[in-house]
Amino acid sequence: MNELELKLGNFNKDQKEFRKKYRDNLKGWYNGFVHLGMIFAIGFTAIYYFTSHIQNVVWWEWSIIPITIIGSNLFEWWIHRFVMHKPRVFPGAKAIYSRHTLQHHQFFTEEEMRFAGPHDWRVTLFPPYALAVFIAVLSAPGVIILSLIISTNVGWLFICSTTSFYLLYEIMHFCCHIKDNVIVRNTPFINTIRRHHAAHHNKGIMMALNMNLTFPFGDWLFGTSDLNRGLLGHFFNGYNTKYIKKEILKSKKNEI
Amino acid sequence: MPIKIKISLTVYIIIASILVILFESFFGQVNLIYALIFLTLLMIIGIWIFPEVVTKNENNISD
Repeated sequence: MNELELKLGNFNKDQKEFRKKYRDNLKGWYNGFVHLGMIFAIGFTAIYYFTSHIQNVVWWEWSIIPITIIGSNLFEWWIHRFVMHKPRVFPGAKAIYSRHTLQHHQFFTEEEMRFAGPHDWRVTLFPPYALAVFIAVLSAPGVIILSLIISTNVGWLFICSTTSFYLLYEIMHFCCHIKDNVIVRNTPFINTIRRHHAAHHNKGIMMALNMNLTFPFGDWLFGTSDLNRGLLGHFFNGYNTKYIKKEILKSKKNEI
Repeated sequence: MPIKIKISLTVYIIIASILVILFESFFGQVNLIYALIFLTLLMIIGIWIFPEVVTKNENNISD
């Protein structure tokens, strides 16, 4: 089993044991590339289908894209804070909580955020059926409603935006758990979210702070960021630790 | 994912796909039906063949 683990990982004992147990409990075959490929095959096929219906867009219809992106960012913040980190009773909520708080956060800590290889992607990427649910159950009704009350273009642009945002979420979160390299270190937004999300994996703050996984807009808006900066500063913070709130730095020092 | 939810989700996707395919064949773009069938198959495959993390004890390895 050791060949499946990082050789020079900065693990604590519990984390190392959990990672081994998680891999042992994965039932049947698993291939990270098939997993990633299936998510993007579903996503891109769906986007191809949706965009095929868009024609002669009037200028104001484009405004649904930024509105949907902001709404999706806030939904991401909300679901992370109030479903992924709090056990709820509605169908599927317990599984989401278990998968995220009890598995993902034990698998990765602030000190060791990396996959050991594609065999570990299962613990970060959502299962492909989650995208099916997201499109068919959560987004499709929006297309019908927006088509009826505004226009069909707005309906299709809406579902294109939600599906694209879902894929963006997967990519950004994935980038948070790969090894550091020159690309992720220097790419705007990706470097920001890597530091932002690594800080979130600190057990002392994970239930309350740094809930966004794409752009830290919701965290800035609701004051749940570990940074003391403005919106642009949040977006382009990168790996900078200069603006971390003093009380958070103090609590981390006390932990050590 | 419990098998009842898998079955329900599969049935929902099949019904939704049939409705959309019928809509496309009568009122929309017939050439998009192949994309819809491909998408439906991918979604159903994603529901059924994707491996789960099984619960072996109460230490919260479940999905």
